Amino acid sequence: MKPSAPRGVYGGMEAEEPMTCTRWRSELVSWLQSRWETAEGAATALPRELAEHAAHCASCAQRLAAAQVLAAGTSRRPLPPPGLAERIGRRLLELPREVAFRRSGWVRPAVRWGLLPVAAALAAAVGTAALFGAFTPRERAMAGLPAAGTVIVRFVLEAPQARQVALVGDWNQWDPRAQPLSDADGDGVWEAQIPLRRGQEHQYQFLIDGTVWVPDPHAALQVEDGLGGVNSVLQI
Amino acid sequence: MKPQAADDREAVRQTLEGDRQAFRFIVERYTPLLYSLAARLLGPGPEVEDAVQEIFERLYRNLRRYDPARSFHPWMYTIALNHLRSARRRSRRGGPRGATPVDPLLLDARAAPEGAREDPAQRAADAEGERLAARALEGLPARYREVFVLRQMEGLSVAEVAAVLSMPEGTVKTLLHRARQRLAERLTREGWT
Repeated sequence: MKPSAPRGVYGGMEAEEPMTCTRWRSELVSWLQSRWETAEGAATALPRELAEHAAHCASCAQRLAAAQVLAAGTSRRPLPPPGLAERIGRRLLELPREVAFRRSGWVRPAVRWGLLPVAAALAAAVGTAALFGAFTPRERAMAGLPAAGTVIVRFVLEAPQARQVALVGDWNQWDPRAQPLSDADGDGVWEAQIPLRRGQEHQYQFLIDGTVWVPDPHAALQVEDGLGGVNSVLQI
Repeated sequence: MKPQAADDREAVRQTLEGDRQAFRFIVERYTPLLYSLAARLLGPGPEVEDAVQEIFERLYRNLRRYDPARSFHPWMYTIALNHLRSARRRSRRGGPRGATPVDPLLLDARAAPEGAREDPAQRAADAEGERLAARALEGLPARYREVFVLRQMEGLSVAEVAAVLSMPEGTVKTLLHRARQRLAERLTREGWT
């Protein structure tokens, strides 16, 4: 579409012949450059001639649309579909919990669902003497260590859908109300730290929402409970 | 420190302390920015959402390496750009992106950008405009394109672009100027559409 009419006076309202596509395109670029150089938010209105020519020239209309996209700044961003941030946030919570954490000694995936005898943690913190009862009772109390003959065991269960989780075992007479686990930060990982006597075998299960019995999937030993289920066994 | 920057660092600090919900604050705040960046660098299409998801996962996994003495914004953009570069390489194997026609119905499913017109014929023209603009950007060398999108379209300051792309500020300005020239040239080229 290139009419060969001679160029007339150009100056806004005085253009006398139809704008050629060639001229139109250079006008488009001038407009675009001025848009690019203008501070964000300051309007550079599309000159009427540009709009009019594009209204009846499909090829130039496409170029105009492209120019408008390229001229778009922060006030004309492509918008995310509704709910995208929500979906992304939810999916991130499905990542393993320790992925972001800096804290050393955090529960590693292999033991996440099981026990973390604090004996190991204590050994790191205060030296292996603690394991062999080398401290006096007073020293132990001052260091916050459990009484001799007991060890503090940390029970952990990942149960994001649970409203409550109880630790139920032979040391608390299988009473579901005795030792609830807690999930203080609401991330679905429930835990409790329980002092247990050494040199004994303990059997236990988790009870979720008062109805679902769950043995500890990572306990080294499981035994039948005589009721058609399975108890986890802890030997310390 | 500007209040927003302080909020970001606080959210990061809390996330690292164990409060994963705190990271959702970052996700809510920055999804629109990262979506816009990804759409502009990758061109319109369904992989833009995936890319944004993957960028946030990278941010989350790398949170340990974020130095709170530095500003969060440029760190985030640096990670985002790295990911978008490799995303582009992966999708390029399927052929040049700008050649894929954008289904106007796909664009209809998104919230309409400001200024988008209601008339279906106009929407089709807008979709075509997006495709051509994406193609024009595709035609730029990578650094020109990144400078143009970050500075011109996403509104980052020259200093910030320089930090994110690890180049002097003078280079940012030069590349921006050249990018504009090349784009303008494209728009006037015969037989381009």
